[in-house]
Amino acid sequence: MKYKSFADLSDDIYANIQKIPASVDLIVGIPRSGLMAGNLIANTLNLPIIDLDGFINNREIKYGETHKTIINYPKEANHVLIVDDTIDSGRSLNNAKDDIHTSSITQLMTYCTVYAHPRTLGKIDIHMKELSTPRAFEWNIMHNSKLSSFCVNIDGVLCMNPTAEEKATSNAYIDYLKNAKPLLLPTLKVGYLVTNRIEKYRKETESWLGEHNIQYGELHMMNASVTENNDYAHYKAHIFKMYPKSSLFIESNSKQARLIANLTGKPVLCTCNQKLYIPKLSLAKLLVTFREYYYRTNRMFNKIVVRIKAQSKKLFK
Amino acid sequence: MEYRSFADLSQAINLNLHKIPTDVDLIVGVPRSGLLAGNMIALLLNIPLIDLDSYTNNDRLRQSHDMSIAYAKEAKHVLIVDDTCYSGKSMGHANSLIKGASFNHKITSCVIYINPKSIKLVDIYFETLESPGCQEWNFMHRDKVGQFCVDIDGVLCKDPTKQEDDDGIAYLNFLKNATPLYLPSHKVGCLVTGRLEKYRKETEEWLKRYNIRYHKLHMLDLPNAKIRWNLNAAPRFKAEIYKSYPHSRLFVESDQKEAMEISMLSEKEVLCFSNQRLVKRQLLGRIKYKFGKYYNRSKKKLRKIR
Repeated sequence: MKYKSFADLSDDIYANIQKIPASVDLIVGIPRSGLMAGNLIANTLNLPIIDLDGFINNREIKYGETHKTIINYPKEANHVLIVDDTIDSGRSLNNAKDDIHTSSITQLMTYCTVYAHPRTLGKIDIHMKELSTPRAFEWNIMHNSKLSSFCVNIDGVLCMNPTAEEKATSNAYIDYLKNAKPLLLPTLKVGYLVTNRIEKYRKETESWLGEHNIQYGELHMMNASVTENNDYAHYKAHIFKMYPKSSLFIESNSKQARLIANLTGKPVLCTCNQKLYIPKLSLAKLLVTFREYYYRTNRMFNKIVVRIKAQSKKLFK
Repeated sequence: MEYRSFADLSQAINLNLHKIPTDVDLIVGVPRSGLLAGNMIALLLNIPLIDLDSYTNNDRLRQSHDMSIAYAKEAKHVLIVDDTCYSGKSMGHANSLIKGASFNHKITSCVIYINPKSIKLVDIYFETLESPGCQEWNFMHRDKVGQFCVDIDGVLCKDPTKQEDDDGIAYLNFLKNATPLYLPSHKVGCLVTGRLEKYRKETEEWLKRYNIRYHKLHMLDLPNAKIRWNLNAAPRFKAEIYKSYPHSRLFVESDQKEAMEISMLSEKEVLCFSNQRLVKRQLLGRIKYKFGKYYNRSKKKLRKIR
């Protein structure tokens, strides 16, 4: 699984900005995520940007107050760069191509995507980076059809974490459960919701989820006995392991995310720092823990070697 | 100086997403950088996005996902997004445009980075910034760049590869045909480069070709590249020039290690371009750097004595 956040997108664009021809004087973004990538390119190169509809309808280009005007209408541009974020099947790019062809625009056109699957490279002129599947992006992770196989945490991902005051008394906590502020709400069905809330708050949680139209396959909540040990990560890892087809866990806490990844051997996405914790780390962790033993055994081995040498010297004298 | 990169912007949005009312169903971006912030929010919340002009013209929304609203007018609650707000001028302009359109739905204005003075002008803000500062998406295109010192290799043009950096024919070829990276749209304060003085003609020609205006071009006055490499003269030279301009507030450097050294030596802030971080004046780092120098020197002396 490869994950790209907004920060990665801007980094990858920066690293490969020289791939864009110098003669480009207008950037067209395919809404919405293509517009995002196009905006980043336009801001670094200080070129005007317009969305696809505006380009086809020849709408006037607007600039911010601090940017100098270069061209006023899309028709004045000589070389147009059409940007999308990814190319997978090529459908959205083909739609854009068809729309442009039917509107009889005759300028020089270059098609560019930031991420491209190796097998679709022939369909576009420029790509910034190759990216094979499985992959996920910060901008569509909650609105993706793959969400039906993911495990998602509730507190910190779907809604705000409770503050210390809200946790203090049971009345305040129930109040929080009823009126929690939503953060990232999925538009499609979520596979499994895994939360460290206790089983006795199931009613409140389910009513909150219904209120915000969140569809889900199953809701796993903790038993009261497990909570006493504060072993949240182990519990989540246990549930995550139960579903072998589930390929990603979305967690808000970075420490727990790392632990879950190490315990299950599957990738875990942390939303607070937009990092994907990949289970390769478990090997590194093993090395760290065993290095100490390695040094100890090495020392012992050396001692034994020295002793044997001394003994053998004595013998051969 | 406050510096914000795209990564900072996306983090600020991620942390403050709960401030946005849940019934918002259309986001309007104020061109150009407000459109960028609005785009991030729209993607995270899966809400349609439109720019200010199409909104006032009540254009049809074109979206890849199945959305409930087709025209801007049908929205019930609109969020107007801009990235920064200092005097409130551009936000006021946007507000007057919106009033002119006179749609009857609820409107909320939202700004990511705001000056504490103009908090009252907007409904939602994400972060307060005391001074105007710089943002990754516009700092090369504001007139403030007239106060900056900017490196050439790695910022304005691509770094030479190992084969090109031979101090001979290949290098001359590189100087003539270097691929441009980030070209400033205003007059730059001064260009400070580790290139040697003997290549001034080629460098000036290249700068002229790409319409880069500057007050002064400082080049390293050494006979050849090998001496420069042996002396590690580039960061010291850059720091010296940077220090000699007390009004210059930022040095833009491409290499991470060199940026560290320049900030230590000049005791001023340096922006590292490759990882988009501001290297601030740090006391501990400076002590370490100076201590390291003495440590190396004393080590050499000890070796001699032995």
